[in-house]
Amino acid sequence: MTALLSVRQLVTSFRTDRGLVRAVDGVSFDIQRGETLGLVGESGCGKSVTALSILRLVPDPPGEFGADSQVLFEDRDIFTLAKKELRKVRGAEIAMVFQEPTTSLNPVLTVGSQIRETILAHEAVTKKQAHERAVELLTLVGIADPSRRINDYAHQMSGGMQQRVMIAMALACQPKLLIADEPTTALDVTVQAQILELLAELKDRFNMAVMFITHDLAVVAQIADRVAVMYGGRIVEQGLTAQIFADPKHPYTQGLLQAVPRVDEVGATLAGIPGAVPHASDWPTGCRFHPRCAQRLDRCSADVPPTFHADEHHQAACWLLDEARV
Amino acid sequence: MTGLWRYLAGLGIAVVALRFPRVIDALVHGDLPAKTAAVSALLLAPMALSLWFRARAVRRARGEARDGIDGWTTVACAAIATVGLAALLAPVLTPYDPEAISPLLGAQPSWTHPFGTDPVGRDLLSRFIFGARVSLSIALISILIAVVIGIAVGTVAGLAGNVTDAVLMRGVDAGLAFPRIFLILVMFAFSQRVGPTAVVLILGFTSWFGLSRIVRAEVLSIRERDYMVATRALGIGGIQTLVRHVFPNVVGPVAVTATLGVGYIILLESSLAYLGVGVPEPTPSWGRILNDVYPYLASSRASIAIIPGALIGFTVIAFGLLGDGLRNAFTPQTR
Repeated sequence: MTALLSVRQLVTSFRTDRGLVRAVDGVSFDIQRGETLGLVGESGCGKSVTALSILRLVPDPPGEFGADSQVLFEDRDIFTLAKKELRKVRGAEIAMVFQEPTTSLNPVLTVGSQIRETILAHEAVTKKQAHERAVELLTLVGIADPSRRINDYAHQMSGGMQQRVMIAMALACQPKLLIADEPTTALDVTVQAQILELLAELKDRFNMAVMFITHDLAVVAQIADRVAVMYGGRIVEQGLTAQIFADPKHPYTQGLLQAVPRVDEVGATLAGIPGAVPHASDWPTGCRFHPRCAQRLDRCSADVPPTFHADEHHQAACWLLDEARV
Repeated sequence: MTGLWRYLAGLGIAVVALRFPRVIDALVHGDLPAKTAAVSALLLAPMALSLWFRARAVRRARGEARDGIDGWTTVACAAIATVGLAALLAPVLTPYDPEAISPLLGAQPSWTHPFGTDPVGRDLLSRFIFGARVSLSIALISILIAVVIGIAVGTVAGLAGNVTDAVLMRGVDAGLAFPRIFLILVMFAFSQRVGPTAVVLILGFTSWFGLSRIVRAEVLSIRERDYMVATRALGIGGIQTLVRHVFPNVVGPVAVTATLGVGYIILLESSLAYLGVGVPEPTPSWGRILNDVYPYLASSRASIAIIPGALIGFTVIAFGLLGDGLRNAFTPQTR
C-alpha cells in the first residue's frame, strides 16, 4: 500500500539579502493512513516551513522549491497541481491547524461564519445545512452551548476555545491528513492536555492521519506513532516512538532526550546541548550538527552523512552508524 | 441604533401629522419632486418603525443587550437624518421659494423668516434646506466616487505589489503633492458646462488619493496576517478572500476617512463658491449661502451669517462622529 503522503527530497529556499537560504534541505518522509507522525525540532530547524511546503503555502517569492522536490498526496504531486485543484485539496483533504489560534481567526467575522465558509467552499450544501454542520462541529470539539457560541467573535473566546474552533474548521470536511503546527504551544498546560486528548479522539473517530509538529518531546511521546527529528533543515533521525525514546541513535536526539527534566531525578543537573542552532544562511559543512556534537568523528565536518538503517523502521543520518567504520 | 429608528419614526410621524394637509396637497397637485417627497414622507415613518421593531427582535433573539452603537453616534445619526430628511422633504417643508427674491434685504431672523433673508431678499431657511439637497448630494456622491476609486486603486496596489504598486503609489503621491484647489480650478476651467454634475465629478476624482493610501496600507498588513494563511490552508481563495477577509477589515478605516471626507467636501464646496466656481447661481448650495451672508458677520446683523454657518459646522461634526461610530461598529473588539 502506498503512503498517504510522501515527501521526497523537499528543498524549500528563500531569496534573501544574504543570498539563497535553504530553510528545508532535502527532507523525505512518509505518512501512512491513520498514522500520527511527530515532527520534532528546535526553533528554526525548518519544521513549520516543511508543513507549509506540503500545502504549497510558502510565499513565492521569496520562497521557492527545489527542482527534484516532490510532495505526493495519494499519488498526486502537490507541486504540479493546478491552483484550482490545489484549492480542493487544501481544507478538504489536507487541513492545517496553526500555533496561534488568536491571530489565525479573522477578528471581524464570527467563528460560525468562518466554519461555514470552509464547508461551503468544498461542499455543495445550503447555507442552512452548513450552519447545522458548524454547530455539530463545535459540539464535537467540546464547546459548550454551541448554538449560541457560534455567533461569537474570536476575541470573545479563550485561547483554548479558539484552538477548538480552529480544529473544528480543519475537520469541517473530514480531511485525510491533519497538519498540526505546534497547536498547543500558545496554550497553558491544562488546556494543552485537553486539546491533545481531543485531537487523539478525533483522529480515531475519523481515521485521520496527523502530522504533529512540536518542540515538546513530552507531547510527542503522548500522541505520536512515529517520530521524525529535524535539525538544520534536515531529518536526522526517524523511527517508531518507542525506538526513538528507548534507543536514540543520533547524538542530537540523545541530547534532546537528556535535556528533558525528569521527576525522578530532582536536584540533578539538567544536561543541555552546547552551542546554538546555526542560522539557515550559514549551515556548517558536512553533518550540520557536528560543531555541537560530543561524539563527532573527523569526517563529520567534511561529508554529509547518508541515512543509515538501524532497524526496520528506525533510521538516522549519522556517521556513527556507518558499519564500514567498525 | 434603536434610538435612531425611534427618532426617525417620530420625526416622520411629526412631519406627516403637522403638514398633513400640505402633504396631501403636494401629492395631488404638486410637481414631480413635490410628489416624490410627499410619497417618501408617507412611506418613511412606517418603514422606520418596522425597521426599529425588527432590529429589536433580532437583538432579543441573540440575547444582546447592546448593539455597539454608542450615544454620540446616535446623536450624530439623528442630526444627519434630520438634515437629510429635511433635504428630502424640502418642497413640503420650506415656507418660500428658495430662488424668489423679495424687497426684504438682509433681514434679521423673525417669525416670518426664521433664519432671516440674504442680501437679495431670499428666505434663508428655504435656501438652507434646498441647499442641503445640493450640498449633501454633492458631498455624498463625490465621496462615493472617491471611495470606489480609492478602494480599487489601494487594493490593486496592495495585492499586486512590485511595479504596479510603485507606479500607482507614485501617481497618488503626485496627486497629493499637487495643491488640490488649483487642480480643481484647472479642471473647472476645462469643463464645458459647470453644473452640479461637474462639481460632483471633479470633487470625486480629486478626493481618492488619501483613501487609496489608507486602503493599500491596510491590505498590505492584512495580507501578512496569520488568518490569511489559515484561510488559504483551508482552500479558500481568490475573490472570496478579498470580499470576506480583506474588505471587512478595510471598511473601518475607510468609513472613518470617508465620513470625515464628507465634512471636508462640504467645506471645500463652500470655498469653491467663495472663489466663484462651483454650483452656479441662483441654485442654493451651502457654500453659496455662506458666500452670500458672510459680510454680515462683522455687522450688528451677525445672526444672519451665524445660524447657517453653525448648522453647517454641526453637520460636518456629525459626519465626523458618525465615522468614529462606524469604525467601532465594524471592529468587533471594541464592542
